[in-house]
Amino acid sequence: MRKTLTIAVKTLLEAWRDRQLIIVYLAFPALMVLVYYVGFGQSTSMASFITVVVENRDRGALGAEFVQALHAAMFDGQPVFTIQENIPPQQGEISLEEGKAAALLTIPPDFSAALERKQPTPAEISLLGDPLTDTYVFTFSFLNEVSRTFIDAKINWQQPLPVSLEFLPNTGKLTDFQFGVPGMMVFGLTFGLIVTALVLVREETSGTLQRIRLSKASGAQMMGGVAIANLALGVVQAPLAFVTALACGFRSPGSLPLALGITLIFNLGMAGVGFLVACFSRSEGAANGIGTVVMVVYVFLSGAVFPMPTTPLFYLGGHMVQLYDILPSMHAGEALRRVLIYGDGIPSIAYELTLLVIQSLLLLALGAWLYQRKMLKSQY
Amino acid sequence: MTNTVLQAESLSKSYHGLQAVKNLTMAVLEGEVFGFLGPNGAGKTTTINMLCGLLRPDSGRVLLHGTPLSGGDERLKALVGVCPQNIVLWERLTCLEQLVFIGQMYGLSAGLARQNGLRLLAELDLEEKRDKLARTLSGGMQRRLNVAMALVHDPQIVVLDEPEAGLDPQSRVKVREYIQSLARRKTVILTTHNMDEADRLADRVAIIDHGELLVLDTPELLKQRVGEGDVLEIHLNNGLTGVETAQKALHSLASEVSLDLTSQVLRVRSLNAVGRLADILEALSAAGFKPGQVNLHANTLEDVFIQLTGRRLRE
Repeated sequence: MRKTLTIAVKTLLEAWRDRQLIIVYLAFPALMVLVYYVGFGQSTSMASFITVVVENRDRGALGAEFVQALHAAMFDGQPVFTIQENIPPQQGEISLEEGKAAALLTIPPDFSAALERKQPTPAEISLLGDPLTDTYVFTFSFLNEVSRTFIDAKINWQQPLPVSLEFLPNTGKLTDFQFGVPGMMVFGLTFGLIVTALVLVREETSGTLQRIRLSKASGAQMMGGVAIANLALGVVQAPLAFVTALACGFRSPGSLPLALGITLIFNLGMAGVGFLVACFSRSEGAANGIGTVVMVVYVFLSGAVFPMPTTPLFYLGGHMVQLYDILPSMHAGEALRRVLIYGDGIPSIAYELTLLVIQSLLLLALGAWLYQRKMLKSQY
Repeated sequence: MTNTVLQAESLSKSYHGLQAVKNLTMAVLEGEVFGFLGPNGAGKTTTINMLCGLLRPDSGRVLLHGTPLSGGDERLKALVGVCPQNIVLWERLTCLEQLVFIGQMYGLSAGLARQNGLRLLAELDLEEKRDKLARTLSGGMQRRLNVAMALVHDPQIVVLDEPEAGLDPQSRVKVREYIQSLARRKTVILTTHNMDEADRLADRVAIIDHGELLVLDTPELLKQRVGEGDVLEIHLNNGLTGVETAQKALHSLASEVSLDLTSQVLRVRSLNAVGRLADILEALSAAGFKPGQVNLHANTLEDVFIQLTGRRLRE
C-alpha cells in the first residue's frame, strides 16, 4: 500500500510540474460549463421561443384538457409553451416555415376515445416541424414529459403518448443518425488540430526541430509540409467517414465531391489551429490538453453535436450573423448539412463556403506565422 | 592546415544578467580537429551556438573564411554540420529515411542525399540497419547515426558535441577512428569531457571556463607547460639515506623531488620531464648517483584541465 501511495504522490508531483497540463485538466469541467453557458445561458428563457401551434381534432373532451395541460406546463416558474390554437393548418405550416413557431401539434379525432378505453395507441399525436432547429427538439422533449404526466393522471398509465414526428418539406425523413452524420464528421475532423499540435510539439521536445532549424529549410516550408500532410490525411479520413456512413445506411442526395471539398478546406483551418496550440504547448500532454479544450469549443458551439440556440448579432445580405459565426466548424457543419442532407449545391452554400474558406486560410496563416516566429527562427 | 576557417572575435553573451561568454577570441584552422573543453556551465554550448549561427552574440563577431557573418547566415548552414550531445533522431523513420530527409532539408536532391546516406551508413557500420526504425537501434548505433546526420550534406565544418558519450569501448573506438578519418578533409570542432578522447584526437585544444578562454594550444604543449608536471620514478642503487643531495642536484630541473627510502626510488616532478630526462639523469650522475630503471607518469590533459579549472564541482 505504501508503494502504491508513493507512486500516486509521484504521479501527482509530475502532473503538478507540468503546469500547462494540470491547469487544463483541472479547469476542463468548469470550462465545459462555461461553454454551455455561452451556448445556452444567455437566452432569457427557452420557453419564450417555444411557440407551438395546436390543432385539436379530438371529438371528445380530453383533447382540450390535454391542450390545457400544455398551457399549464411550467419550468422554473415560467410557462414552457406559448400555445396558439384555432389557426388553420395551412397558416400553421406557414408559421413553421417562417420560424415563428417551433412545431405544429395535431391531436387526432379519436384521442379521447382511445384514452377512455385506456388505449393511448393508436391515438397518436403528430408533431410537425424542422428537426434541425433546437426549438423543435426541445418541444419534443417537453411534450413527452407533459404527456406522460397527463396520461398518468387520467388513466394511471405512466407512458408518454406515441408521437409521430413529421418534418417540413425539404427536411426529409431523417433519423437521428442521418441528422447527426454531418456534425459527427465535423467532430471527427476537428481532431486534426490535436494531431497537428502533437506532431509539432514532439519535434520540439525530441530536439529534432533543432536539426531542422540548423538546415536550410525555412519556417514556411516546415509549416507548409505539415499542412499538406494534414490535407493528405484528410483526403483519406473524410472518404473513410463517408463510406462508413453509407455502409450504415446514410443516404445523401448531395454531391460527395463537394462535401469532400468542404472537409478539406476545414482541415486546413484545423491545421492552422493546431499550429496555434503548438505555440502555447510545452509538452505533448499540454498539447493534448489544450487541443482538447479548443476542440470542445469548436465542436459544441458549432452545433455539431446538438443544435445551438440562435444568437443573432446582425444581418448581412439577408444572412443572420450569429456569435458562433466566428467558428469555421459552424460553417463547415452547416455547409455539410445542406449538401449531404438537403442536396444543396455551391450557390446555396456560398455564404457558408466563403466564410469557411476565409476563416480557414486566416487560421492557417496566423498559426503558421506565429509558430514560425516563436519556434523556428534562430535567436538572431 | 594554416588557413583560418572560423573565427570568433571578442564574442560575449549574457543570459538574465549572467555572463555566459566573455570577450572570447579564438580561431579554428582549416582541416584541424579542434578540441573545445570546459567544465559544465563554462560556456561551451553558448560559444558553439554563436559559431553555428543559432545564437546572436551580444557583442563581437564570427567570421567565416574571413568574412563576418550576420543574421543567421545561410552560408553557415550549408557549411556546418552539428552533431548534438543528445541523440536527436526521428524515432519513426528508418536510418536511411532520416538521412535522406535531413539531406534534402540541406538542399540536396533526393538521389544525392540517398547516395551520401548509404555511404555514411557503410562507413559507420550501420549498413545492415538502413531500413530499421531508429528507435529499434541500440544506444551505440543511435549515437553513430546521430553523427551521420551531421555529415550527410557533406559540410566543411563538423561540430561534434560529446560524440563518444555513453558508448561501450568498441563503439567508442569506432567513432574515434571515424573522427580521425574526417580530419584533414574536414574541420572538426570537438567538445568533450573525455580528456583522453581530446588528447588522442585534437590537433589543438581550447579550454574555457566561466565564459573565458584560458588556454589554446596543442595537447602536447599544454601538458608540457601547464599542470603539476610529469613524474619520473628513478630507481637508484646508491643506498641513500636522505634526499637533500638529489634535490640540490635537480633544483633547476624539477619542481619537486622526494625519496622512498625503502624502495630507493627517487620521485622527480617536472614539467616536460620527458624532454628533460637526459638532463635529469646527467645531473644525478654528476652528483654521484647511479640511476637504474626509470618509470614515467606523464602529465595528462586531465591534469592540465584540473589545474586550470579547479577541483570544485560544477552545476
